[in-house]
Amino acid sequence: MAKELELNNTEKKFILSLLAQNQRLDGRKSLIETRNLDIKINPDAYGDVYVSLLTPEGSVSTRVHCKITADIVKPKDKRPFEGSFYVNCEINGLTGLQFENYSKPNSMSSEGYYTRFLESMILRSNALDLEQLCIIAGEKVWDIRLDLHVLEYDGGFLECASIACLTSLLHFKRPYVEVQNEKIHKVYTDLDERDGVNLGVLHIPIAVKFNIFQQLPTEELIKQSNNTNPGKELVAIDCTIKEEMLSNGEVLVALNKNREIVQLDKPGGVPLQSYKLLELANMALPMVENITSKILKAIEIDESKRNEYAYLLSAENDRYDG
Amino acid sequence: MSRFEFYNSQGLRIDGRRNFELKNFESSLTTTSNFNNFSRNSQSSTTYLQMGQNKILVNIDGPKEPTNSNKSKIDQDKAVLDININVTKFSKVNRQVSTNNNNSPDKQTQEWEFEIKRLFEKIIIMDSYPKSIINIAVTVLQQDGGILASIINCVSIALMNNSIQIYDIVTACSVGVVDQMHYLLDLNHLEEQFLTSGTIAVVGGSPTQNVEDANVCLLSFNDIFPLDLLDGFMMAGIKGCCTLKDIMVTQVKAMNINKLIEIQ
Repeated sequence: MAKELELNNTEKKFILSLLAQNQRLDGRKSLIETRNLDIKINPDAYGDVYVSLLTPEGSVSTRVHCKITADIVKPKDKRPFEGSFYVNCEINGLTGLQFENYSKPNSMSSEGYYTRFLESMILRSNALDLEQLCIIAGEKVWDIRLDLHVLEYDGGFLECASIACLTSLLHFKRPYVEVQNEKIHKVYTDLDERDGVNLGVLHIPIAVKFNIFQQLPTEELIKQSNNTNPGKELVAIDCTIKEEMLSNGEVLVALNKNREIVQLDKPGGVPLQSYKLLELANMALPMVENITSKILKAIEIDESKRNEYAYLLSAENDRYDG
Repeated sequence: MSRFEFYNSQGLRIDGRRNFELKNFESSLTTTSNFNNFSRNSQSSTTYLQMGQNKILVNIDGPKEPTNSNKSKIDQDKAVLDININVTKFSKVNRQVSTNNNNSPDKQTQEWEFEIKRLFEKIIIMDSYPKSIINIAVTVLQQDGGILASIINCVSIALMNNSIQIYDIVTACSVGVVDQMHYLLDLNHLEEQFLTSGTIAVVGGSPTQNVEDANVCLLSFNDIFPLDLLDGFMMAGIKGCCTLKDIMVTQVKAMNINKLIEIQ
């Protein structure tokens, strides 16, 4: 068995006292400050994205690679008009030794839980329109597979992964398919020959994770629920792995910028008052808006790089500018 | 989407309940209704819960010394919780044919196990059982919507029946939304299938308590839903949980009086 990351008592106390003073181990000045986001899109392919979180000093703390591949398959009998979508997440010993050990083969780790959160976030909210992936009903549909590799891990997996998923879904282009007489005539796999088709992404859900650090023992938290004394627990966003290990509970919220909750999960942990949960959900909204605009901007920049000569080929001219 | 009228103008639902009406809730200490078959010597007793058409059995083994196979998990300071959920193949209307042949639980069940384990790790006073393990085995015999809530309720009752120390009683309830304005409590499977729904669990709720101060320990919500309605959603759920707690307390008391009489 590989040795897991362990914290000694001094370090635990130090991190918790830092958090109580509204400071973070990596130099951030507030509990609700996120790390800098960096989205890199591979210029040679579609839907190949690297997303990393940078510490204030500029070094990479968490990095995720996301790649989409598409394949033509036969649809399920129950849903002949829909394509399929699958998220495959790989976290192995490369990222951290704690992922080498599997406690029980049939039980779910928290990373497995997050992956499932991501998949259902995209599927159940219809963020990816599966009906657009249909080529011939009941015969041929597209199967979209998303491979997620965690290259470096220092917390913030859920945010990073959701950003990577959505960026690559928005960026990916599947080959154009020509259908004649209910048969596939030609698949334009060479995107230079004929431009690909974007996937139908209907809205952009982004997940945010809040970590809760309790200040009082659990007994007092539950018994003294009637008198509201503020500041009973600390809530931090975008925790590093050391902070995550010390947290007593978490709230996962996925929102889109249309003020809709796509998914909300509080899997056990320390109890939280209902007004606090509402506060957290509302707090996530400006963050989601910010991230969404960053994603769209990154894709726009990439698009303009690809079409360097677009203005030469364009039929638009000054006279027509109006 | 609505092929059915889930909430009609008279304020009735498909199964004739009002919107805030819970399913009938019946729990018993063993599967048999009379205690003649109840074995006094059995170390662990089974708790049976019937919540509407949900039928669940919970068997708690422990706290006890870990056996050889899970000795590595032992914690010197507190107990270790081990939860196993078995959703039987005949529990739904359609028999579920599993694709994997080694009978491993599906993703949904694993997710429930993960959530319930995290939930009860904070509710059971783990410090009072150091170096021991508590095994909770859940069997779902029949399901009819809101199964996660029913499992949580049943585990909560089973913990009380087995005299395991807990901070307070956990109650859970499923909530659905119709037409973005009516909230329905304790859904059945049709409602769960077609409505936006979620599950909420509250620890130590009481009807006198201010709703905003209720301690929410689990919230699971998988459908798309306007952010501004979250408030009403949680209010409805918490009210349901508080009512449920009263019902649960009376039933557990009655159950254990029966048990006492039987033993004497």
